Amino acid sequence: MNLLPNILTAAVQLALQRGHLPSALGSAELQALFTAMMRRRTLVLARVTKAEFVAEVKRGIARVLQGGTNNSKAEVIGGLHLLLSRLGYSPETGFPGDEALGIPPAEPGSLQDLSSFARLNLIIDTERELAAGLQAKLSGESVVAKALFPAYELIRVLPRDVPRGSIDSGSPGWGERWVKFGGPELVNDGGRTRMIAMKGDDIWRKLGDQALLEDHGINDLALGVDFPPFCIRSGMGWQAIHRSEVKRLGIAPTSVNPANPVILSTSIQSMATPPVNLSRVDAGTEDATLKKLRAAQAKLEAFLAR
Amino acid sequence: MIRRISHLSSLLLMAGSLLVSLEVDDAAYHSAMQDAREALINDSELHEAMSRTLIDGHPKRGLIGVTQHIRSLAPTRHATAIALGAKPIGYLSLAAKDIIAASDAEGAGFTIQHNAAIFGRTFRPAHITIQDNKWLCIPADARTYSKSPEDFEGELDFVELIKGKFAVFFWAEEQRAKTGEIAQTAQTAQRPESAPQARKQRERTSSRVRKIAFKCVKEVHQEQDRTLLPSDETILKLCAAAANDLVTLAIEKRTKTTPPSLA
Repeated sequence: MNLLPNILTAAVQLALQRGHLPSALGSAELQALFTAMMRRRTLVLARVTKAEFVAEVKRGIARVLQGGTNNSKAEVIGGLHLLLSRLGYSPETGFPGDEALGIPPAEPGSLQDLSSFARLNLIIDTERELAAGLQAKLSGESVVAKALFPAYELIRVLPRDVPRGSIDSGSPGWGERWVKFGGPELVNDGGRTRMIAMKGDDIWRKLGDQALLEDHGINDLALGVDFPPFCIRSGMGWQAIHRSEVKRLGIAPTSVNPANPVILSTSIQSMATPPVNLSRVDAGTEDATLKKLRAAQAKLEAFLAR
Repeated sequence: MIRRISHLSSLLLMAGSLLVSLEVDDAAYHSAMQDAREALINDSELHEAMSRTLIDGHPKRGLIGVTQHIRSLAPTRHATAIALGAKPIGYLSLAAKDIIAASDAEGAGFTIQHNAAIFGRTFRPAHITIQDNKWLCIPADARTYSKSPEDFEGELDFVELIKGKFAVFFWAEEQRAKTGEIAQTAQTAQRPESAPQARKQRERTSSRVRKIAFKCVKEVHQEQDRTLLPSDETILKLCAAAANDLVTLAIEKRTKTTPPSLA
């Protein structure tokens, strides 16, 4: 079985195919300037004015995604540190010439300090999550995946010290956002409230939409994507929901956004499989086919009942 | 108790991910799947259905998939963090986060992309070795838990205690502070020792008070832990349930009972 082309390439290709752009703007200004499509096509780092550094970050992300010898996150961060030194970066003065661009000094070790472990770690983690999220979304859109698992549940996949919605976060939780943004009715599953929507539902776009967050006065940094993590360091993810659960919980296929706004390359696009016809059948043999299918079903049921 | 011969083989990829491919040696399973294989239009779709169901489970059958299985283990596997007094980082939660389906016409499986090395011992004991001048570094302090010596550039001192076998990274500042203290004590003791003896004495004494950041070894042995992934029984049933779903969909399509959303 040669599965390598399916599993390794998409995220790495995504990281490599993204353009890169230096920018003197802050995160909020960047969000206002770039559309979601550009955000996904271009790696832009807040207040980074050296294209050489941005290009190296891009290569570093591709290395981390690829994994293996010499490609650990620590090694990539170490390399970026060396490059920053060579380019004359310091948190107080930034890159040479930054002062003239009005870029404020950063407190050493803070998230604004490009040379801090926290900042470099955040950059790599966020980009890695975006690549993995897109990969998961695209592979979940194949016909077989949609037929068997037609919906997603929004769940917490990584713990956070101060999750959104907690008192100290200063930001509404995901359930509140879901309702505010007009998501499908929350599912009450035996007393447990679940956020479930069909694949392609517009709520997935809304959760990662910075403009919508701002319209609702929500202080957060959205990533402009319609897949988890939606917002920076959210710790949220998808659990695919089986068709039997969709049926049991009575989830309606509402509010579907038919447009898939961004496809980055034909190689990634090709992850979606062609439509299925499901059963072998020749003209005029309908009864025989059904008989065959039912026999197969009976055998599988017997095996599952053991 | 069900006794069966089934075998799951794993292949550790160079890229750091763990591809788990399914190789089943079980007559009852193959017999149950044979008719489905003949009835369904192609193996690629069957294998894709199997891969996805392996990952995401089959609630109607009460079968938990790989993702949920690993996620359920996460709260119970913090022994190292607790021993060091560190905050657990949720390494299993991270491993469960981006598991992807891997399938083609030949077979089905899944790939664990994060912290994949942990799962190498699902199928057999793991014996990890490292060559040349490199070391396997094991965190020995709450601050170094889940980190590498590279994360502490300039903060650590490396000392090889048993040549080619065992070494440690000490905290550099603490080492200097303690060594200074000991040097002072040695001076006040007024023992007329020769320089090498005094140094040996200082090293012996200081090694008792130095704080270790990492222990470094050349090889690590880990026992097999089959519970890291669902049991063979569960995995075979997940595959059979996936095949049954496709067969059911095909029947529904032929008898026109498929709901529009699933067509």
